[in-house]
Amino acid sequence: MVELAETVSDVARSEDRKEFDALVQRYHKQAYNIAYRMAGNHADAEDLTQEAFIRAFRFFGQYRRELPFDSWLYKIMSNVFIDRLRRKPKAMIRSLDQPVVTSEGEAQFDVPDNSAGPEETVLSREMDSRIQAALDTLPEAFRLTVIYADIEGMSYEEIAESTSTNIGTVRSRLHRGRRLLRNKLKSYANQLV
Amino acid sequence: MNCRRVVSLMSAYVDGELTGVEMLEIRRHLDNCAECAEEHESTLAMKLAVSRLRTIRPREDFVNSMLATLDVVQVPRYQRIINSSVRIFRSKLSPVAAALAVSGVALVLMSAGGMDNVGQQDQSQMVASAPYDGQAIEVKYVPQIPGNPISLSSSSRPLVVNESGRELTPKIELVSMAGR
Ligand SMILES: [Zn+2]
Repeated sequence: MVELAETVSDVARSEDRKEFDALVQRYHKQAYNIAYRMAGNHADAEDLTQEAFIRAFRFFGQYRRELPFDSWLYKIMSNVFIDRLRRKPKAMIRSLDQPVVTSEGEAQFDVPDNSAGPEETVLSREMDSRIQAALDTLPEAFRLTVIYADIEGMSYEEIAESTSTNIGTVRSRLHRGRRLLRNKLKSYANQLV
Repeated sequence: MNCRRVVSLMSAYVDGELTGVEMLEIRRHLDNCAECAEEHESTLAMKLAVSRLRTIRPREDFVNSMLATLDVVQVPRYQRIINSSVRIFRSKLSPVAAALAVSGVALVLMSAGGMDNVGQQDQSQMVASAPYDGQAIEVKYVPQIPGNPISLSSSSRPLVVNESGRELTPKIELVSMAGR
């Protein structure tokens, strides 16, 4: 029985791999953006994204094709991101009181905002960094919930499913998460609107 | 609806995640209460600020390096067997029965010593090792729920990663009874 199971899965593996590679191509950018907003820097975002796809690959044999891949991937990402970030100290700890420093690497990968003039761009980058720094201070589960709701635009039901919790918890994490963010950004509140 | 209640529902209100009746009640309240209206403004501003964050792209060759990494990831034998068992059983059995059946497979593997190979066949750090205590005498298997290989809640145990932080160990717990 063990022999048979192994043979079957060996044959299936190369096909799975092709299918999986296509899914990596399709979803890695979205996953990376979420990872970046969770981690706050590129080095950790790469680690988190890669870890999520490795774990997805290992469990890919259990993925039910009738379900959307992204909802399945969200679940794995949720688990990996929170698990890893809880264990690992931040690569870069930024304080809201200090001027925001952008690493060379960071600037290189950023998407230029062509709609804004130079001054506006500087201002929006500054804002972006402030908000990121505030996000960094949230407990991981709150941070992820806020990212899913406000960046990914997911419904409470979808977030509950992705983070293996219930809608009441999602609601409470968002409520508290946004309040924490707001307190962190209080001095910037007039620029938020 | 009083102010306290309105404030507690504000986040869900800006997300449009309340019942129609609640949405209407809050809207009416906001027309007549400056304090709550301010709370609404600021909650909405917070949501908008986060939603307007730039999309961060990975470096150009990131996806290729990730695909290359997958080349050296081995799916350990026990995992492949569990995966294909889940697939086979799921098509025939209810999720609970499938999980039980898979746990049976895992226990057979354990008793046959099949797990011993896991650490040896894994040479890269990408591959799981299965650290377990040889003195353990009670085996407790945490069944995988098919289609839901991971879970996230404060009560559930997260999947364990080894020291390199790269991989999870099989979800098999060995519990020593010596301490009881
Ligand atoms: Zn009021």
